[in-house]
Amino acid sequence: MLNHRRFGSGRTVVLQHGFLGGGGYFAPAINHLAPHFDVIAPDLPGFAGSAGTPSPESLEGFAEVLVEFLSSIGVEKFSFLGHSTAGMIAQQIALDYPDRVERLVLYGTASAGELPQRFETFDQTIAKLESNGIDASARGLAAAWFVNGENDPFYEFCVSAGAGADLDSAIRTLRAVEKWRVTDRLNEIDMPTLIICGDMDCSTHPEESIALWRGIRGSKLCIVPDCAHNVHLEMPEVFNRVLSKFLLTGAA
Amino acid sequence: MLHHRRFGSGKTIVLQHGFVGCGEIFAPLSAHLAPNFDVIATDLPGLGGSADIPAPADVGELAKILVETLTELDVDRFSILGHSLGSETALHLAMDFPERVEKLILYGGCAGDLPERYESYEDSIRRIDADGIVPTAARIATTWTNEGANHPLYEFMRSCGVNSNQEGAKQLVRAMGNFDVRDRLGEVQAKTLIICGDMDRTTHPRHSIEMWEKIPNSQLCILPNSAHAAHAEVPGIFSQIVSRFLMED
Repeated sequence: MLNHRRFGSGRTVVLQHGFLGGGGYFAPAINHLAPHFDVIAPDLPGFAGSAGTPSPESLEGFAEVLVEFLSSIGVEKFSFLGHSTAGMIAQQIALDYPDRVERLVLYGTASAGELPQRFETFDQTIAKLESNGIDASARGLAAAWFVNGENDPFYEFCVSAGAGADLDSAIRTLRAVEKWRVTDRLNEIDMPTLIICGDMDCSTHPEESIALWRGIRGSKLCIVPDCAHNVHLEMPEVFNRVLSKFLLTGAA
Repeated sequence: MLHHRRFGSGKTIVLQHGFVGCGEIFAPLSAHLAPNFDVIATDLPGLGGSADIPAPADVGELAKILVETLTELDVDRFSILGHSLGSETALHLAMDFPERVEKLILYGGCAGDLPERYESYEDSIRRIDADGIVPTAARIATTWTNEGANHPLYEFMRSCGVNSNQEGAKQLVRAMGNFDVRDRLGEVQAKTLIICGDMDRTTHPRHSIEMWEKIPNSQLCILPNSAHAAHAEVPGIFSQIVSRFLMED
């Protein structure tokens, strides 16, 4: 069983954190959505409160673990928001389990793990993980997620939500990301999809989001100015409004 | 002097409407900004309260006329938000009068050439002649939102365009057709915010993306499920993003 928080009632929305994050960093979004939805924010295997569960070898494996976890807590249909690495897992879930997903939100992500415009290569990130340890690496990484770096008022909140990740799982996850690619399969995704990204995102460049928008038929695009990789904490008012509007408008 | 409305106090923000509009169209945004800013919403020549002022077939001339009005109003430095043709005017103004512009907001705009526009400029001129300006204004207002004539603010937006001068409107269509500053985007010095709806059928979002890539100090905002009137389609989000941009250092 994955560690998770669950609040509210209504149709289910899953908020899935990404690499070296934790479900706790969605607290402002959960607060906004819980009056309307059954909100579940799991910790990925290998990370935060699920650090004791080893991470799978592939993003297909992550997708399977998450869907099985949702089945085990009685959730059949859900909307799924995936941030960063979890936005990739979200695409994999939409491809492998299309009948389970009502709406899809791809937040700060890309259709392939190869990210030429990322602020550093995955090899560099892995080298830092190995030499500096997971805590120091996580602090450095989280700083790159905010336009204002460590000075953002939510920086420490974000770091603490991601604390506890397992080093081996973290490295295995990066290797899984690196080899993953569904760029040629985007036309198979046919549920209502919202794509969100900050215009200053240096982890997953906005061009990746624009390409997702062009590739997924009928998808909606939201680019938020003066935000990096953590729009949900950098501009929570805008993020929450856009998200709830998408989830509520025209919902069955 | 261009017809205008002016509210509030503080640093000046000019709100420039677009084709077959008038400054009224920014009433909700003006109310949001007036507690912190000196808000001036001008009417373009040939449109709204400026319907009797002859309209040039050139966006650079529109920018010059707008600057002259602001000079007459004793406004030296200002920020400017322009929508559609107003965005083209604001962009030209920022290039030609860089010392006057503090911050620039290009909303539903482009730098030239709009092959994906819902109709060609020639068709627009032809239909102004064939249908008259009031039905043309109504028809154009239906293209601004996804709901067309069923949008709750459609009647409000339509009413902003009905007082247009027929010959003036045709001149402004020619101005849009002649507009092309794609080679000059690197000249923009002002801190710039570019806003567009992801379903805009007038100025396709790719034009906003292109301007963002080429204007040195620019930010990009694309709003989901919005067409050409995001300020009326998602007013809360729109006002929040604009005021944050205007207030930050």
